Amino acid sequence: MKKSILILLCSTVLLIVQSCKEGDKDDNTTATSSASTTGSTFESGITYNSKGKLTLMFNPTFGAQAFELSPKSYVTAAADTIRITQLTYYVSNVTLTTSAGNKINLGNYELISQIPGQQAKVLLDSIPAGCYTSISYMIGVDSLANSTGVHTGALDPSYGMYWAWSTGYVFLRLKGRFTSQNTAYSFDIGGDGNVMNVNHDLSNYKTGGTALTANINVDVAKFFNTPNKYDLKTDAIDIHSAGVPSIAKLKVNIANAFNITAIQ
Amino acid sequence: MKRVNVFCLLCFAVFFFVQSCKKDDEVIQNGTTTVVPTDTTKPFAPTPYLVQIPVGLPLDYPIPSPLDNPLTVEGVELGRKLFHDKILSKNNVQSCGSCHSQLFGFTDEAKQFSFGASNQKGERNSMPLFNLAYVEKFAKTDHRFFWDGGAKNLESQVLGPITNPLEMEETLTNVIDKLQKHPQYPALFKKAFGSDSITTAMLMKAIAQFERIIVSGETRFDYFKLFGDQSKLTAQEKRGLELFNTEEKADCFHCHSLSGAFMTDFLFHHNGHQSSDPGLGRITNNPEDKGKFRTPSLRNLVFTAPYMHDGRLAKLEDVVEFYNSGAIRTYPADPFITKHPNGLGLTSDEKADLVAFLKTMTDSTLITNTNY
Ligand code: HEC
Ligand code: HEC
Repeated sequence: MKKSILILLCSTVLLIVQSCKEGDKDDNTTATSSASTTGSTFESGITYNSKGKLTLMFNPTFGAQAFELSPKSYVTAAADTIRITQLTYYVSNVTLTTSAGNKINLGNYELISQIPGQQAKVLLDSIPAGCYTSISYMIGVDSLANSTGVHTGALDPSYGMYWAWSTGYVFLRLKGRFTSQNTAYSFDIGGDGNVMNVNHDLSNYKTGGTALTANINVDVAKFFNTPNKYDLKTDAIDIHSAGVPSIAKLKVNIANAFNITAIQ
Repeated sequence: MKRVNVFCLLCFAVFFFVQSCKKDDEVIQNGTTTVVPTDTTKPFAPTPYLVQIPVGLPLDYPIPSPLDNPLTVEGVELGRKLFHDKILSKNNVQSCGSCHSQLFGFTDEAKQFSFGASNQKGERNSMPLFNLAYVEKFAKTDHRFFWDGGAKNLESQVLGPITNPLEMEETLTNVIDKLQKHPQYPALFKKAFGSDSITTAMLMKAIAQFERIIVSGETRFDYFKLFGDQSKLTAQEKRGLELFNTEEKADCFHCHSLSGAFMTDFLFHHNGHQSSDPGLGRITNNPEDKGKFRTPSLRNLVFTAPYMHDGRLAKLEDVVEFYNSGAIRTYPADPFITKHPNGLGLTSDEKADLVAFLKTMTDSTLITNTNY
């Protein structure tokens, strides 16, 4: 058992290193650790010549406006005036894909609380050397981790992002007030079928280094708008179980709301 | 009998050995869930816990347990203490045992609904706790515990009552904090899990271990069924059994199957009640699942009155009359209920026979066993 895992691991690493060599026409050894943005020395995607780091910075906004908690109010596309008291979510299974299509799952489970003025970041350590043309992750957790709750770290159920009456994690919580009627809205999105998969194409970035940072914009306005208009006057304002029909709109919008703005 | 028990013990020992081997692999694959001993001078080696399997339960394997939470003497001991400790509730007023009392087959005395830490009224009848490990093993979907199948396993179920605002009303951070500051618990957690830095995961595991050792299957009906011991049932009880198993009569056996050891098909059905509780539908949001509940075991009914998810039926006579004449016979009731459009048409003698039979599935060791 141990052996076969080791062999599998070895062969994956081998494959990744190989595919990079194939894809890279330039001599990468000249473009070492500087987080260069000149691009000319790198192939499409992000390149690590040796084991490297990637920090994902999650920066929320509401459209072009800065993200603030209540009492700041925003107007959604459906002309609902909302205030936000909490935006918290799980980011898990961050996976990098090489130009040759090999996937490497970095296995993280992170709980992100968006609080203005506080950095919300996921640090990915020990990324194997290679050139990567896309990065994907789940907003939520995979069904295996979602099945027991017997976990420590970010998955400790004591963080309150957990349903004990219907086993599983709350993947994303957005709540606040919907001021036109001063009613509470509260979205707890969970349930294996509702994982929100985010995928970022990196092929337009031609950069590399040993420690890179990807700035990811989380546009809360899009939660209510892109592509599905979400109207608090007619759609659900209380979502606390997996099968609420309005989740179908929200989960697509939410996955769309995560976009990379820069990689340095 | 003796021989069977020795055999069982042997099974356990072998199983445990296999389990602990597997656990090593777990360490490699999933570092986050494995507890690493902190005291390196004494290696962390808890003692396997052996359960004596009652005659009526399957003998071909030991108590089913997840690989990352094998039964240990230290874990069960800790779980028992936690189960009976009010420290898990707001203001330390209520334990799990407050609503799951051994004398009542681990239900809440004779109450229809339970009351929480601030005396607030609950919404469902407390459930008996025995043979729960087998629910995990035989369930046909992820829907296992609670009347509506909302909890996937015993570990995660533990968090339900603690945090439920109608029950123990406590936060997990408070519970862990109270346990960590307690004079005894840190040492007990260390004995059970190798670390005195208490986590939610350890709390869940310990209570789940204790729940898994509660087994029941020493009944007159088991001896009758397994060994054909005719003296174990009276003529009336045998007539009741016959009715239970006859399609044109009581027709109970489709859902409460007597072929296995648990008197349930481990499925969810709408048995013709008129309650508005959505049951499984609350979990799946599928309109087809509305009003479905897990078919309960029929063991130990004598201890667990009142009956049904809403505890609306006080006596077994009421249950039988419900199936005989009270149940609704149209959708959404289950096809096994609607197939009797005019009710079951049982005579009063037949109803008495059926009740007499139900009482043969009573295991008094459940309420006297001092291991619980
Ligand atoms: C206030 C009363 C109350 C307390 C306290 C309580 N329970 Fe329960 N328990 C219930 C009720 C009521 C149900 C049925 C709930 C439902 O189906 O929604 C139940 C169901 C269960 C079940 C499901 C059994 C099955 O067959 O599916 C388990 C297991 C359980 N409780 C264990 C516990 C544990 C462990 C504790 C302590 C941490 C506890 N209970 C504390 C009232 C209580
Ligand atoms: C369609 C499947 C089905 C059939 C047929 C059926 N039951 Fe049930 N039984 C259930 C379900 C489901 C429940 C739980 C319902 C609820 O909680 O409202 C239940 C509950 C019970 C209970 C209550 C147990 C408890 O712990 O509260 C008893 C007793 C019982 N049934 C006996 C019988 C008898 C006797 C018959 C035959 C006359 C019968 N059942 C026929 C599915 C069935």
